[in-house]
Amino acid sequence: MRGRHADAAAYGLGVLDDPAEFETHLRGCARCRDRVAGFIPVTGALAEAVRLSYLPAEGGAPRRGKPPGPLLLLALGVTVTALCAT
Amino acid sequence: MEAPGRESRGQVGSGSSATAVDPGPDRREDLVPLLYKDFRATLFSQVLALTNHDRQWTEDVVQETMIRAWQHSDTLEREPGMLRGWLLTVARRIVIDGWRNRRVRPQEVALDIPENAESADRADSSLAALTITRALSELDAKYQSVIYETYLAGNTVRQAAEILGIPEGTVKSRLYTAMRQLRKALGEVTVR
Repeated sequence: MRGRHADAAAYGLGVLDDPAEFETHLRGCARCRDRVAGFIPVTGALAEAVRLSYLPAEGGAPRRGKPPGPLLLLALGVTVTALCAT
Repeated sequence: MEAPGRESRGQVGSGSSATAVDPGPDRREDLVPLLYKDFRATLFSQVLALTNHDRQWTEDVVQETMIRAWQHSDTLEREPGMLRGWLLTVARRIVIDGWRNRRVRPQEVALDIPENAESADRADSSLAALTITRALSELDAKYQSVIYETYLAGNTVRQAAEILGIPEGTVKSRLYTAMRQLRKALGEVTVR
C-alpha cells in the first residue's frame, strides 16, 4: 500500500487534508474507487454508532471532510448500487 | 413485512408463489428444521460478535431467538431475506436487553416485529453499529488510535499525525488497515 492508494480509507472517513487532490486520482483509478466504495458501509456503521452513542465523538457528530462530490458519487454509483443490492 | 401469513392454510399448492417455503398445514413443525438448517450457523456467528464472544450466552440468545420465531410461526414471513432480518432483529434485542440486565433487574422484554423493510433496515444499521463498536474495541491499539484521533475526534490526517507523533503516511496506512479489518467484521453481519 503505497502512495495515493493508501488515501482511500482516510478519504472514505472524510479526514483527508486535501480530498480534492485524491478525487483527481480517483477519476483515473478504478481500484481506488472500489476501495472507497468498499469503505462506505464501514463509515456508515461508525456514524450510526456515534449517533447511538456507542462510540464517543468529540463535540457531537464527527466533523467530516468534504463529502464526495456528485462526480465521484456518479463514478461510484455502479459499485454502490451493487453493494446495496447484495 | 406486509400481511405475513397471508397464504390461506386450506389452499396448499394453489398459487402459493409469494413465499419461498410452502406454508402448508405443518407450518409450525416445518419451521424449526428450516431455522436450524438455514439460519442457525449464520445467526450464531453474528450474535457471537455482539456478545463479546461469549459462546454460552450466544447459544442462549440463538435458542431464545428460535423459540420466539417458533412462537410467531403462524405469522412469520418465510421469505429468507425477511426471515433473516426478523431473526437478527430479535437476536439483537435479546443481546441488548442482556447487556442491560447485567446492570439492572430482569425485566420483561417487549418484542416488536419489523413491520416493513424500512424498520428492518434500521435494525440492521443498529446491528452494524453494535458490531463496528465491538470490532473497533478489538483492534490493535495502534489501529484504534488512528480511528479515534481522526474520525471520532474530528481531526484530519495531518492533525492526528501531530497528536500521535507519527508520520502522516503512517496514519493513512494504519487507517487503511483498520478500515479493512472493520469492514471484514462488518461483512460477517451485513445481511444485505
